[in-house]
Amino acid sequence: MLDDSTQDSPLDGVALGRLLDLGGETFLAQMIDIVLPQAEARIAAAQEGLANGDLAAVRFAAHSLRSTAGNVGATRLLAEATRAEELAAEQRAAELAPVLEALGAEWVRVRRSLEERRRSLPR
Amino acid sequence: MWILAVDDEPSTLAVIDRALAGQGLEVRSSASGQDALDRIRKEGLPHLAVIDLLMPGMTGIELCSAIKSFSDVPLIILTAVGTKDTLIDAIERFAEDYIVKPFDPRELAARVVRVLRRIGDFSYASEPLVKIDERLSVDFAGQRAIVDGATVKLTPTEAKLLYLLMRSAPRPVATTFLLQRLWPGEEVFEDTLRVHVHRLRQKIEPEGSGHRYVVTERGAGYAFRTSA
Repeated sequence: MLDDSTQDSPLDGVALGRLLDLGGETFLAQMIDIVLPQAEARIAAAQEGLANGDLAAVRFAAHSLRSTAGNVGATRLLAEATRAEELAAEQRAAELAPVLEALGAEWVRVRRSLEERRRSLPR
Repeated sequence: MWILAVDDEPSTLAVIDRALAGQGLEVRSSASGQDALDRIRKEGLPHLAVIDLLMPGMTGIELCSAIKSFSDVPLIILTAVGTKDTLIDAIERFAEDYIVKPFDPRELAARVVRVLRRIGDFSYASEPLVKIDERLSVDFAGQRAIVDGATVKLTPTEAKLLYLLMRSAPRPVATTFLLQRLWPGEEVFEDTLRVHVHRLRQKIEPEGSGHRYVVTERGAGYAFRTSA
């Protein structure tokens, strides 16, 4: 039973369960090891893109983050990234700042959950 | 059989690799469109490619277009909601199927296996230089044939025509199917195809021996034969 399926968790237990089905704990550990630095880098790239007025960079970073979030069942992070991608694609820079802020806050929750889960998995 | 997976997102590549490995398929990954094209040139055509639509640099559409210009490798598009117009365009012009991210790995595996079943085996195309016999080899990605030791440049249409015929060899390929695959969405007539077949034959057939490789099957289309 995956405790990530509880209402408070930022991670969807079904998605994590799929990864476990696919490759067991070793694969889940591998995925978390990929996702942690990857998502961090994408969020930084999105923020940097916004700061530089490069909305194409924001769009690509948010798009990539959507996939990353989706793969580990970070549903709210996925929704925030989707919103950021849409706004960037529509060149709505003014509305992006609060969305990226919310995205960053959600990432903190997701990262904490992933790190906690990672500790129980094989090194 | 090997599958080319193209996505700039490493965790997606990891999921694709694991999902398809479970079906006994070998996955080779590329993190960009350009890397994917370089890989095809070096390693030959994959049996199928799974391609993300939105990537920095060369987009998925550009990559699909490049691959389809010289081959008919089946393509499955990975996409996300929000790119609908691009997706429709990709499906109409290039893709056998598509899958929306985030996806269930089992669904991806099922779709890949379904498409592979449909196209059958084409294992000899997975080398960069496909050896047909002692006098003829073909490099689809490089759009060239080696005929009696000499390099002969093929046009993208000729390379793709050859691919389509070789994939079904020795069975004949219907003229209507060839027209659809060579010029998707265009109104092109049989005469045009005949011209391309003629030019291809001029390039690869031995002089004065009739049609050894590309054979006309009356009422059925064209077939590729490897024996004289």
